[in-house]
Amino acid sequence: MRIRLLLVALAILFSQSLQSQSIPFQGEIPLNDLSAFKAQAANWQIAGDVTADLGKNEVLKTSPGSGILVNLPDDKNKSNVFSVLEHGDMDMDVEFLMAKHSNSGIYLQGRYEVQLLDSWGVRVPRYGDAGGIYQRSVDGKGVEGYAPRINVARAPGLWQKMHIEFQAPRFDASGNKISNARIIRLDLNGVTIHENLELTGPTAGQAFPGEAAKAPLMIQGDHGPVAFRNFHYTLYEPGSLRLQNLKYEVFTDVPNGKPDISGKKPSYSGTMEKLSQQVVSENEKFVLKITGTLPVTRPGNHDFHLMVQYLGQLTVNGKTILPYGWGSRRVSAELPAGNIPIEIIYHKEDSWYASGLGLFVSGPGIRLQPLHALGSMPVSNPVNPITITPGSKPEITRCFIDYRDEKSNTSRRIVHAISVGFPQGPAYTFDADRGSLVQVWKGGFLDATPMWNDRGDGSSRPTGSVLPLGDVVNMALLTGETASWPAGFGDALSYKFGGYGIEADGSPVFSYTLGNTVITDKISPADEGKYLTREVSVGSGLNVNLQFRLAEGVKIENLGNGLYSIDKTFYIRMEDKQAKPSVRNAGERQELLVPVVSGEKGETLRYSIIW
Amino acid sequence: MKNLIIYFLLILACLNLHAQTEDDYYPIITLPVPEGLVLEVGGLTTLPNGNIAASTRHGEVWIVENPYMENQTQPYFRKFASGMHEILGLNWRDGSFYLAQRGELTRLWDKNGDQEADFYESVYAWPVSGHYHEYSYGPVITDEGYMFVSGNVAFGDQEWWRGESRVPWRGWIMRIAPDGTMEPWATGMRSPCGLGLINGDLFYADNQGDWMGSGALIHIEKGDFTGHPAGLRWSQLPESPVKLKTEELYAVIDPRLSPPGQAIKPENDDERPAIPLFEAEKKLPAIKTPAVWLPHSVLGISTSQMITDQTGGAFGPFEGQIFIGDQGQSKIARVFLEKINGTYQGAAFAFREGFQSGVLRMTWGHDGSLFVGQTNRGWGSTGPKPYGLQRLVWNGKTPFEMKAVRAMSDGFEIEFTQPVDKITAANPDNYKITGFIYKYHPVYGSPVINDEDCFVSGVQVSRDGMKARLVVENLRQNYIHEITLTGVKSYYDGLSILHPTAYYTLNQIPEGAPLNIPKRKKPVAEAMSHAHETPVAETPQPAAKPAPATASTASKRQVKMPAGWTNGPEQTVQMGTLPGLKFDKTLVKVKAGSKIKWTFNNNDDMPHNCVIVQQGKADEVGNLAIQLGLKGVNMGYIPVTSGILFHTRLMQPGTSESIYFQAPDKPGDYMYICSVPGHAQLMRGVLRVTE
Repeated sequence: MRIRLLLVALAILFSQSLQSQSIPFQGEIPLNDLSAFKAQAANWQIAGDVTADLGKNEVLKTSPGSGILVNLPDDKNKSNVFSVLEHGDMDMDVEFLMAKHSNSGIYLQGRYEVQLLDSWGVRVPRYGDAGGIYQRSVDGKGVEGYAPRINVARAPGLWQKMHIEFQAPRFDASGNKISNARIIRLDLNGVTIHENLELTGPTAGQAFPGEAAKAPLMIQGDHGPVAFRNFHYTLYEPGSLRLQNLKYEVFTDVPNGKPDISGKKPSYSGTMEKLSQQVVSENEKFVLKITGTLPVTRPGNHDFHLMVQYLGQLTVNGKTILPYGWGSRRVSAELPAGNIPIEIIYHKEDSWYASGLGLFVSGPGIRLQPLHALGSMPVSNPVNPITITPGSKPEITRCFIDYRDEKSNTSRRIVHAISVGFPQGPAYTFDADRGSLVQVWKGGFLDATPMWNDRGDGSSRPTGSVLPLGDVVNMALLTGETASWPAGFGDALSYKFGGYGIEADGSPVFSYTLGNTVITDKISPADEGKYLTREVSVGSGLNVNLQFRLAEGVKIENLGNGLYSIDKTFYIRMEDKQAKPSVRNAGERQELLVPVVSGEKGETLRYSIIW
Repeated sequence: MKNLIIYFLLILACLNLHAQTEDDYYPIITLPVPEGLVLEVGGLTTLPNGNIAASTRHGEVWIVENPYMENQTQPYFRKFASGMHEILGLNWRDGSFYLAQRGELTRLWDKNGDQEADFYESVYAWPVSGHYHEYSYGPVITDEGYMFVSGNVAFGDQEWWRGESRVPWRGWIMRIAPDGTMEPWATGMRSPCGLGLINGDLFYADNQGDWMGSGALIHIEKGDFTGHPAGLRWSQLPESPVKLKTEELYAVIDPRLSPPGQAIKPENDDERPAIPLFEAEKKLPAIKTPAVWLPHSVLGISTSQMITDQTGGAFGPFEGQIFIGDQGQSKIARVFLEKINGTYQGAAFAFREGFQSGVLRMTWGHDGSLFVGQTNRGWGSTGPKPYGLQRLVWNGKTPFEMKAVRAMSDGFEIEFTQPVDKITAANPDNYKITGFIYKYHPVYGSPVINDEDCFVSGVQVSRDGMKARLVVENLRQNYIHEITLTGVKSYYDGLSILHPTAYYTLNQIPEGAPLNIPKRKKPVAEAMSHAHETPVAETPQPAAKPAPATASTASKRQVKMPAGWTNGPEQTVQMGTLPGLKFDKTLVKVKAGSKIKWTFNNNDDMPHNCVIVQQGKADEVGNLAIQLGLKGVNMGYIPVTSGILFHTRLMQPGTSESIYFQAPDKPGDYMYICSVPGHAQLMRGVLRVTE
């Protein structure tokens, strides 16, 4: 008893000592000025906007303002920059934008480089491409180095997203390294390109000797213009959490519905070492109540993720934060330091449900981790993946496609989707119900496992980094200048999909009709697969003035020579100089429209989607 | 001693006697398929030059050249088209392929003559919601060029077992004209995998499931409703030729819908009585009952395509008859059809089993052999291979079979393929006839109900020995009549009939003069009751007592914890299922003699049981369960055999049962199987008993 009291007292002391350090575990590196960085040369600046030049190497134009960190090196000023922040274990999200032909890198702890490069259009990425882990230098020779699984880099001048989960090396009390640094996960533009990579030592170009538990972040500044924004991080401390004083009670004679077990005598009860539902030997129907304490050393926001196979309830510190309900749920709770009481109710009414109970928690400085025993939550059966990869000719695959656009928060299963993947790299999905180009991507073609494993659900998923373009028609008859863009054609235009012909090179040309007017639609890779060019030929006889919507976004900028930037997420380029698109304001957003005149001869529209 | 010698001689005689097998007449030839080609056949057709074309679930169309492997050489597989969406039907007309993708009737053109499709024409695209079960089939093409396609229902979100039609014309047959215009044609379909034209009339075959008591062959005319209510959702649309409304059907048959937020399967509700489909038809004439029922688990478990024998005798003695495939049991049944009072009806027989995977599609080769396209992904099949293309060939020998069974005003006429031995054929005791039917209800499948024996009061064999005319008492219109020939022999070799049972669906009893022959009287004891005794009580019981389950049966399925187990079970085993006929565990270890609680959760979407068998008895028990035939479902597919140690009941999807037993004392590997016909080969695991 005394020992326990002592431990509690120690834990409280420990927590207070940590509190006194007042580490901001979660935060953003502010980019309104350079104060978040150590003294640096003049190549590092703060800007309000940056624009690259698709045709010129190592050019970034800036405009005044704040929120963007830019590196504009010249012969004199080309230093690297170091954060004031020192980090060990860390999750980090950042957006970056490369000038054409530019090169930079993010050095975790100033030592482990995640390469940044203009890798637009690279077919087989190497360790030196965007997202690669650069080589180590051992005795003057480059070793290790990890290429991205696939190249999902975007064009110069477009914002790209990187998410890094990093674990610092661990040292014993006398400073000897006991485990290597590790990239737990690295996502580039939404695609995981590394997972659980152990880094045996610093990569070439390290800023500091040896390895350390904590060190500043470094960004390379000597190789070309690059810009950064939205620098978010979460810091973690080593160590794991463990529920203590775990007790359980099992009630087997419970009627269906929300159980009332207060004051009831359990069928059996006991203590357990680690949270688990496996103490229940009766599997027909039961209520399992588990109580314990969670030692919280750092007060603050904690995320709980309760997984139950059936019904569950979570009470933390006397407050029911997840009410009695189904399945897998997440919730946050503000917790003080101390031994926080936890109560879990797990209720299973149907015996044919496999039992499963899991609880994950994350908190200030604590990476999300399981509190349950390994066997308590069954692992779903992994299956052998089935992918479709273009060989020497394009692959055309008809399947359900689950379209998602997180920015506009839209999602829909496209049931008459036709996806095409080119040997040169890019791929797209065409919606035959609307004659529209709904998404493009690079980095592989389709994962057909959901469709071809077992019964399948008829759907496949793009394997690369998807750029959603909109789940609406591309052509419409607008009833007025302010009329909103419709999702479908409506009855007036009587759309019918006609099918597709296969060209000699294996690529499809779609055809569809509006009334009696035939429209052909061909989407082809251009410039060795860097982007796609679309050619829409509208036949004669359509006596209405159609608008073609090329793109939609928050901010559409005319960059000249028929090139438009859409939120610096992708470009649209008109391939015929006489085409005169216009930007239309649609509420808070903008649309890039071009009229389509069918007339007596018909009209052909050619434009490129560049990303 | 003398008796013993006679027995011995009899046994020898039996051994010498040639017993017929299907292999003796219809050998199966397997076509080699290139490594890496996933030939999961969804559609199969014959080209004018005799080549065979197959469409696949991976969306490809392959042309098989030299499919007859003449000159002892290999077939050649040529890829004609690819990239389509699960093609489950393929046809050829006027130089083009026509095929059904999940959401489209497509025509393939080869305009430049390089034997590869270069235009994929969308003839008609129908709506789908994107649910996995929304498969589409067809087309069958009429002489005028009209194309029939059919579509499966989806399943519910809350009521995940209930078929529903989320978008127009799911659960329907559609007719598409050559110009691409579509007419909804008929509804009531659940899983209409088989479509066919017989004598120019449209037929389809459906699968057992909710509202479908058993697989069946159904004649379709415009405006028909065949039983599954999902498609009625669209009957109020002006273009619907079906006028029956969902509410009108639900007024006659309670759909047992779950209350909101509470998913209760109809079978978990109660054991309500239910009427057969034909009784519902009397109240709702829009209902179309099957031409021929294909009794579930006897003639198949998942009916697929039908095809008419138009080989002019090249395929044997069944010219004009229909062959119907079965996916789950990897076999083909045979149907003799006749039209009585304008209504199709007839007899179904087993024909050929033993294909390598699930039989989905069939097409005639130019030599009168039958190509059989197969797949079992996601459902499993008795044939264990994942896919295949095989060819069924008649070797010119005539099997001794019932060629046809025809309805008569007072019985049946059986026609044989060979002359019969008149003595055995004229004995009424050698014919056993039982009438039965299925429930029409929202529950998955149906037990056999209203089964009653028929009494054969007279038999007249034709002078040529090719026909036997039976006079039968207790014929019931609309019922399925199981006719088993127990002792009828062939004239030449004294053969028994290869497939001795016919299932005749008696939709109409024809007019006609009764047969004027002497008739025997029914024994009095039997006349008192037609009803069958319950099949479980096979051990004779004193008449006074109601028959309880025998001691051995009871101990094999102990659902309450035995009173002596004061400390509870020593080990609890939790068994579930995985899709594709699998238990979720393939190995369970228990200690010899230990007290086991074995819970089987049937979380699949079809019925299963879990049967623990004696060492080395898995195949035998599986076969015995198949041999239960019609009695099978009512017996839970548990044959009476010492091969079974313990078993659960037959469990509906989404139900669970715990049984308690003491593990065998003898260490070693035992097996547990699902004995539902067609499942036992795949759905099994090892129970390892250790010291």
